[in-house]
Amino acid sequence: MDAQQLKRYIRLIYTKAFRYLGAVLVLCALIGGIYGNRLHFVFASCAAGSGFLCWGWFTHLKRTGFKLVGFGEKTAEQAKTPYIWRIDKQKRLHKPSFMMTNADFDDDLVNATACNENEFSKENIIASRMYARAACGVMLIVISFIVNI
Amino acid sequence: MKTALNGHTTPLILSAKNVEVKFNLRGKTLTAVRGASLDLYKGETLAIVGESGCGKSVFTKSFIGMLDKNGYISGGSITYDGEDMAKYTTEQEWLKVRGKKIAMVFQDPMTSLNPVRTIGEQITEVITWHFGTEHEQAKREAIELLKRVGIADAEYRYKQYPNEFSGGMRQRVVIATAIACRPEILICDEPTTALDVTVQAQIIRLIKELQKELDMTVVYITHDLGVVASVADWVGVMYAGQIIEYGTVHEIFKQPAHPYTKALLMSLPQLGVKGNDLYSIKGAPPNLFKKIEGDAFAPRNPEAMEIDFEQEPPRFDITPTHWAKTWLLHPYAEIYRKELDSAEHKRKISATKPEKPFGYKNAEKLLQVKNLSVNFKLGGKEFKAVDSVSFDIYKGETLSLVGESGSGKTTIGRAIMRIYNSNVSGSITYKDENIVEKMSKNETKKLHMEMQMIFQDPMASLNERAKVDYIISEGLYNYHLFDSEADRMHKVEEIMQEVGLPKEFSSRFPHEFSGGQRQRIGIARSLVMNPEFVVADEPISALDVSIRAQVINLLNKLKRERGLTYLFIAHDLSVVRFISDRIAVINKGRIVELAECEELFANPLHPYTKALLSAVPYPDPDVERSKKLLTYDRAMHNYTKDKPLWTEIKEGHFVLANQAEISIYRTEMEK
Repeated sequence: MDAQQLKRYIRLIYTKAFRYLGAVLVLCALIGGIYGNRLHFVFASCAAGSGFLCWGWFTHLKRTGFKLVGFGEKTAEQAKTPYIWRIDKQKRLHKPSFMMTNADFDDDLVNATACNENEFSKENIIASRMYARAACGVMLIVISFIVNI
Repeated sequence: MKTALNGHTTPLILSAKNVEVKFNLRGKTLTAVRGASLDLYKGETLAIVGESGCGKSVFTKSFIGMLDKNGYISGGSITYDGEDMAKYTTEQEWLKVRGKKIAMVFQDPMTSLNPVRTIGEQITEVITWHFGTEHEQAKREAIELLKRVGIADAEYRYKQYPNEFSGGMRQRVVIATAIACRPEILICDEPTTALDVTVQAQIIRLIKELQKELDMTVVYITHDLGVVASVADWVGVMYAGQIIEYGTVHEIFKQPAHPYTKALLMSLPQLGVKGNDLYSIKGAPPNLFKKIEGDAFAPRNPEAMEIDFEQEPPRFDITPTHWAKTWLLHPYAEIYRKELDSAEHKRKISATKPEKPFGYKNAEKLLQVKNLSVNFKLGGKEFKAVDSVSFDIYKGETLSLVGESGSGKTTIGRAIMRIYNSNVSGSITYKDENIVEKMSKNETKKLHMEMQMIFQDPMASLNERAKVDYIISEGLYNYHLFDSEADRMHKVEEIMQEVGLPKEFSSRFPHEFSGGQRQRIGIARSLVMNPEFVVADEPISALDVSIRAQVINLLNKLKRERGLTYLFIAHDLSVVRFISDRIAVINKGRIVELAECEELFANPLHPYTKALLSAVPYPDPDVERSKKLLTYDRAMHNYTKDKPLWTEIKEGHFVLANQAEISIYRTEMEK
């Protein structure tokens, strides 16, 4: 990976990590708001941070070949049915808008901020997910320490 | 080999009995297949024929569980490998059969191929899915398959995307994907309908070879009876969701029993006599939302009996291998059947007088094309779509331009219509006036009124937001060709009547019409300007057999009545033979041969013309099976020193050839 590509790769991790962080913080704020105190916000962010660290760890394990049977795996038919033999060829998996790729939308910032996954190998993309999840986990735990109860 | 009583020599592998398929559409139920039955035997080829919308595709799609989401098998049984597939409810059950045991090749290859994955990956995916082969091994097998289906430079092509392939090549890729799992049954759903005759012949030959090699059963779904005659062992004729006649290919073509089968065969231009109207089936197939009483074909059959409207006919066996569902075969109808046969015989005799050939000696030249070249820029490079083409069109004749897709036929038509401006060179003289040069507004207006165009795709050429009344009047509005609103309406109604559309249809939108009716609207739009010369750009290629016959008859009638001159662009030589006075064969932007219609069919000289003629399917199994398919390779000409010239080899018969070839052609002509 050359310097430019490394820069784009870091940007990819950064984008993913802050996307996770944004979504989780909203959730934590909602929990805090429902219970009406900061303690629950801190608990929620700490728990989410631990969860994200675990998720990052499992991503690492999966990357190295470890499989947690039946967890997060697609069924054989879902994974393997060739395109030609699918009935509904236009079917798309539902993706919430905040998870969509910003490169697919045309705005002034796209050129400066777009992270194109296609230019990296599958191995690198999985690694970027691992780093992003771990980074998000660390940031959430740090936030839980910083916030005064 | 021992023949069973029903004429089949191989074991039964699939049996569909009284299959009923329904669709839920906006709260209504449409019965697309109404109790159709069919047996498939190992290694045999069955063709299912019928008009669009008769349920051919739906019936066979029910064998692999590929019905649309709103469709379901509501009755009957489909027995394959000891299991009744009609009872399958889950996708997992269908995936045991689909692709692995029964595969399908669809009409439009683009719908079968994933546009964002390379074709190699798509074939590899199928191999890995079925056999569990390692990726590298599957890749090697995929390359072998690509080579097997005739794709040159397979290693390179493996990495290309579907959009980088031509239509014929894409269809080969789909065939490779379909046979990757070595299926027992291959269903080909109109695999060649969208292709040229030469490519069609190649694809048919490929499927035949693969069938022999893999010992597959092939089911062809088509409305092209020429293709059926060439490939099928058995034929099932389908109408309104039922198989109405079944028999060997010879029985269906030589002794058709059902009035619908007879009508289908009679409406083929190959069997028509030039100058006489082609037989055309009136009306449209029945509405399958409603329950059908009696024989579904009765409302379109002018010779239907009373019972045809009241009671559904049962299956009558004609021979052990041939049956049909028509009351005509009931013993009580024997006298009436004989009367019909004799009337049909008389009609055939009376309709055998061919039209007098066009008199070229006293004919006046309407349009002269000299050294016409059309260049386009593609990716910064200049590309010659038409290369020094010359021909004349005489007043009142029909000159057809025939060739493969991309040969430049439409470009010539469009250049004549002055659609291209800067990239046209050479001269086009219409009524002694060069129309390639700049023209004044008045001259252009006059020319546009005299020259009109009919387009291939009737739906795409009509404004879907406008009513028929406006569509037909558009030219009248543009050139202010009416005195008052009443005069405009009168002109519209008159032309609608002339093309066979009721005047009440003027307030309808294009989507409310059938394909044939839409093409009539396109024709009316051209004719309302009262033109002298019409460029018809493949006006019947997208139409069904019966509708095709109606449009051919209409074009011929208008030519007789209005003295029109046509430049008819087509790739179907059977239609061209029926409609044209002269034919020009075009290859890679150059006209290679031009002659009067019968002369060209009797004495084709250029190897490309010979290849094109050999690829035309003829609806006679004996002719088709004895036919030798010729191929054309440009490398067979040696034009490095001896350049080709446009030479009149016999009066009115021109060919593009060099001196060496001319002497060969002359010897051929003398023989």
